[in-house]
Amino acid sequence: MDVDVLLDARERALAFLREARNADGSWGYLARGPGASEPTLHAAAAGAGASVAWLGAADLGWGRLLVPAALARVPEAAALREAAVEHILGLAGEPVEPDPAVMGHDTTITAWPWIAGTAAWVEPTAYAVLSLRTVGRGDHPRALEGLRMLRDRQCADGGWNYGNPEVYGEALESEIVPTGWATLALPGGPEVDRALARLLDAAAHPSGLSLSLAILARVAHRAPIEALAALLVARQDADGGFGGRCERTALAACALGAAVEGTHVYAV
Amino acid sequence: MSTRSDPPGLSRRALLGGAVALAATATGVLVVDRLWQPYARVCTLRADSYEIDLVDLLLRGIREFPDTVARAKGARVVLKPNLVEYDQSRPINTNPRLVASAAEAFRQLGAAEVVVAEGPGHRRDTELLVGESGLQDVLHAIRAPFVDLNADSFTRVALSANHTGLGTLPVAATVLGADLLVSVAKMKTHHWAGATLSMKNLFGTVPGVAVGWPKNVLHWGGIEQSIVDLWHAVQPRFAIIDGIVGMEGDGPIRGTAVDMRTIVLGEQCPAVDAVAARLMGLDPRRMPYLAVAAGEGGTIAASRIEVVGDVIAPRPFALLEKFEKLRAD
Repeated sequence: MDVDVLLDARERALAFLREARNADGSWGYLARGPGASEPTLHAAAAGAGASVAWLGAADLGWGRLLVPAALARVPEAAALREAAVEHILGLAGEPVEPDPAVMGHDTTITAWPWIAGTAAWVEPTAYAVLSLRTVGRGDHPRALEGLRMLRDRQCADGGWNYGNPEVYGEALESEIVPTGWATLALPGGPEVDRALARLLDAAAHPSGLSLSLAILARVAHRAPIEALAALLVARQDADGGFGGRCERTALAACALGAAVEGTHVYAV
Repeated sequence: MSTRSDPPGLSRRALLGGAVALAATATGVLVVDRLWQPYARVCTLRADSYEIDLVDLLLRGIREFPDTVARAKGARVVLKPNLVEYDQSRPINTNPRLVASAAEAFRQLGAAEVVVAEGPGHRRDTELLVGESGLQDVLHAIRAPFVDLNADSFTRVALSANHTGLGTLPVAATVLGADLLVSVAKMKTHHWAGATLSMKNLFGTVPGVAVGWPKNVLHWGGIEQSIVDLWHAVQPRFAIIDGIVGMEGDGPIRGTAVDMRTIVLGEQCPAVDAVAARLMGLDPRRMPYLAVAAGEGGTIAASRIEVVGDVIAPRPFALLEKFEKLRAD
């Protein structure tokens, strides 16, 4: 696809984000909605600006798992990243008594939960592992545990869903979004090869979010993005956003930039 | 709606904690039978397919409830369907035609605004799900907005009964701001909860941005306990259960279709669920969340529920073996 088309789409997405930003520097899920960690972090990753003050003061919830990765290129966020790494290393999911008749995966791997006191799931684990690898702690035992968990939770179709690949003996289908994040977290290997193929299915069932994650994950592993970028551009709204949602628009901006530059913040 | 009415001779404490373990036993049934429960009315309607005039049928059903008709006038109505997966070969979601018809019905009753809102439990990509499920097309046709509750702002609501021990639960602002919240559920079995009806459907009012995907905190707090806590916290004023095509077996996703040809409606969720459960061949007194709800303002006793509308014969649903204990005798 024409590079100028991609760059224009990216600039329009960034313009949407600039308009949508709150006075306190945060982004909500909707334009000028209550500030939330996920859209604010992805906006920072997209280069729309990072409010370190807001991020330092807000309750980021599970978004904290993404801080080291999303703010990797924000020099003034060094203290935030360090504190987030400590949080990540100290947080673990609750193990669940194995019951192979019910769950097809190893429920004793603690990895990372969405909320403390609950079980581990794919996306928060992917965020945590990605963050640890970003700051050079990819060989930390917790990071290795996270990688083991992700490999264990891969679905039969090559992707990942929220974290149950098989229930009551039935293989469940994967979803592009968690597949994208898991693929970003993994360094490579046969499981990544299978996932990269699965991510191409985003073309058949497109949405802004799925196309963005598919592009980001494939670019991170130097796989061609085929027609995914063109499909993403085609889904952009007249106002430059994607469905009026800031986190989707920010990830799209990241993906459009990745399509041109061959790399992005979430590519380790 | 959720007023507690302790029956003479039995304390609510008798139902806490042990209710889940007790409910599916013969003793549990005896306990529930002794509970005083307020009178409730539920309407069952025959609906041979999704192609009939569902607006007219739903209006007929809603008009059995004069309080709801009055409440709908000038109201902000929020319809909360069950939207889970986009495998259109299985009856997983509340049928989009039924959702759209419910929206039209409430508009005809004079609602100022009708919004369709849902926070899918484990699918991260709501845009894709709404599109692929067919819901986007029907809502676009009737110009009804969809709100993704998973990205909604939220308030941490104090749990009056607090069966989960969580103290509070985050509930979406769109839901809390409704004048009339309608749980528009699907009639299905459920491989963790036994059945998923109008009360289990309320899980989607807890935003994923607060608790993640899946909403594991609700499972960790106890599914049965979470169902009752959310019912109290969210206070739906009406329930519609899409049983035109239900799901049996390994629900709520991998089960098989049941041609039930039924819609169940009512103002009180436990009563609606109890009637639906009986139609599925289950004994609501053995379903822990309903047993607990019966002690907290809900009605599940057949003797206390007036069923109006069309006569519908029960059709026992196939169950996973571990839920056979929920079956009616």
